[in-house]
Amino acid sequence: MDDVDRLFRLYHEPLVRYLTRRLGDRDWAEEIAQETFLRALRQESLTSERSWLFAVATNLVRDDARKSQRQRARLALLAAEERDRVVEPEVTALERAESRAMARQAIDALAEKDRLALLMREEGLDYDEIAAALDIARSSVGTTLSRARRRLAEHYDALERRDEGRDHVAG
Amino acid sequence: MNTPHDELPDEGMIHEWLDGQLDADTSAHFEALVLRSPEFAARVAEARGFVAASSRILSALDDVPAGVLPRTETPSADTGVRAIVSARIRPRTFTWQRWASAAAVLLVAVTGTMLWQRTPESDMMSAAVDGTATRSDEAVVAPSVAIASDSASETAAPEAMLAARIASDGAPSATAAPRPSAAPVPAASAPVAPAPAAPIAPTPIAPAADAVLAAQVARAGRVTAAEIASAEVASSEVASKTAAPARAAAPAETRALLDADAARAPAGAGLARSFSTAPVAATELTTMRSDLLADDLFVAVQRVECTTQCRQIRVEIARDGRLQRWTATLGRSSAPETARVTPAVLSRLTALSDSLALESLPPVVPLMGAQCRTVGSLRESLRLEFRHDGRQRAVTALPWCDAPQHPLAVMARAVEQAATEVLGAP
Repeated sequence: MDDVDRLFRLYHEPLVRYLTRRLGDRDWAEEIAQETFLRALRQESLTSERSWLFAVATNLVRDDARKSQRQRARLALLAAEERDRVVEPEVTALERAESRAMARQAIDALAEKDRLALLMREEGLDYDEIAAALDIARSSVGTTLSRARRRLAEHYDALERRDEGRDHVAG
Repeated sequence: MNTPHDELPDEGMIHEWLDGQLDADTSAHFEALVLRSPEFAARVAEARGFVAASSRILSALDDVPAGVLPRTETPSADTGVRAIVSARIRPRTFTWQRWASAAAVLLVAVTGTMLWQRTPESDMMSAAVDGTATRSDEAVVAPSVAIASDSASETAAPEAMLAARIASDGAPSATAAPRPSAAPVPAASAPVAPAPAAPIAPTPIAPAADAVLAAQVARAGRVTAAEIASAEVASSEVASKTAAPARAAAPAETRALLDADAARAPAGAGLARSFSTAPVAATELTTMRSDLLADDLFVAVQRVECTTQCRQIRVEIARDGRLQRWTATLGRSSAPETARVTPAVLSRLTALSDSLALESLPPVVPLMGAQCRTVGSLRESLRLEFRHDGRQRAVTALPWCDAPQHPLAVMARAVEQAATEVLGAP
């Protein structure tokens, strides 16, 4: 594959964003994306490059999640060091953190297939690509996405209401 | 003519259309259907809402710091993070003095919001905050010993209630912390009182006065001698709760000590002394009594959150049935100015932070909560909750409402004044 530069320029950013949303960790997302492009480099040709990239990245995430506890502990140590070092300067950090936590909770509440389809669609993959990447029927992509969006919005809304209710009770 | 319900495209098809994934003919059919069928138009509108909402929700995930492990796929990793973080933090950061400073900052901030509404001397307090307090004010303010079991029960209902609780519960908790050394007072304490007449230097609490307090409290059978000894600095705080009325009722011996103490204090020293001793005192006192006021007597009206770096403080106040909140950044760094936090707020909170040596706090402070409760005859107590060593801990205190001129109360009102600038007049 001698076209990796073009692939990288075209798909690196959306792929990292997809993985970041999927994993909640930008470093990890970058690692997976890098590995994905390395594998693309070893391919002689790619027929449906975007769906291939997203499918490989998704599988790498699954594989990576099964890796040893030791590696995660190392990452955790690095994370702890980073948290010790960084001082959040912005006054809106709390609100952003709340929104992020609720969004993470809402996306985690979705079924795996729904979540992946939604994240891929958000990165611009069309229905054919999503179907190929997830190995599902093309005709079911619309239903999958509609269900995912509805549930995501409803779950997030419920979390917001619960948060507001807790605030009022506390207040 | 409306299309029958069963002929309307399903939700999946609607999303497919909205995503531009249908062919031109089908899309044209859908467009016409929207115009013909209000029901279909409503479904499309709902679907559009879900599409927009999901994009908005997902965008919140983009602001992700590096090094955060996912909870869903690595359930054990979360535990690992906590364990490692905890192990890294515990041995090098925790000291009681630092906790005392942190707790005192929050106590002061929360208490200030209460005091502002209840204290008629707001003008005087403003004057004190602005550095225009007179020498006579500060003489009254000077923390010293004024508590006496008799006068306390006559003048302060909460103290009476506290005494009753202590009497019924027996000896206070043995968890009273050993007295740390007084926190150093950085020169930055000056901004709270911008123009002191003389250099500010911390002055130790008069030991003789503490001895009087110890004797009085011991006579009342409230606490053990060891606890009194370990919390001798707390005497200034005890005094602060009852200073004005109790001073008048205090024995001549105590009044003489108080007057001598005030006479020794240079102009402006009142504030400085409160900064150097009050944080420690407040925490020790509240720790000593934490188990005695554990009951939740009233709904909480305030909450304070501290970020992991303890550089931000957010106070939430329920007022008129609406939750109002303000956020401010503590610390020396040039905090960004926002629409909700004015430069004056930041300035005062920064001064407060500096005064309490917040810079020496551990880098990671567990989440803290603070609640205000009404005890009996409308006297509030404060309860601070935080997590340390995997255990939920709490300290509770009665505020120093009876000594509105006390430096700590002045400082608290400075914070409240700053909050008022954000929230508007209560």
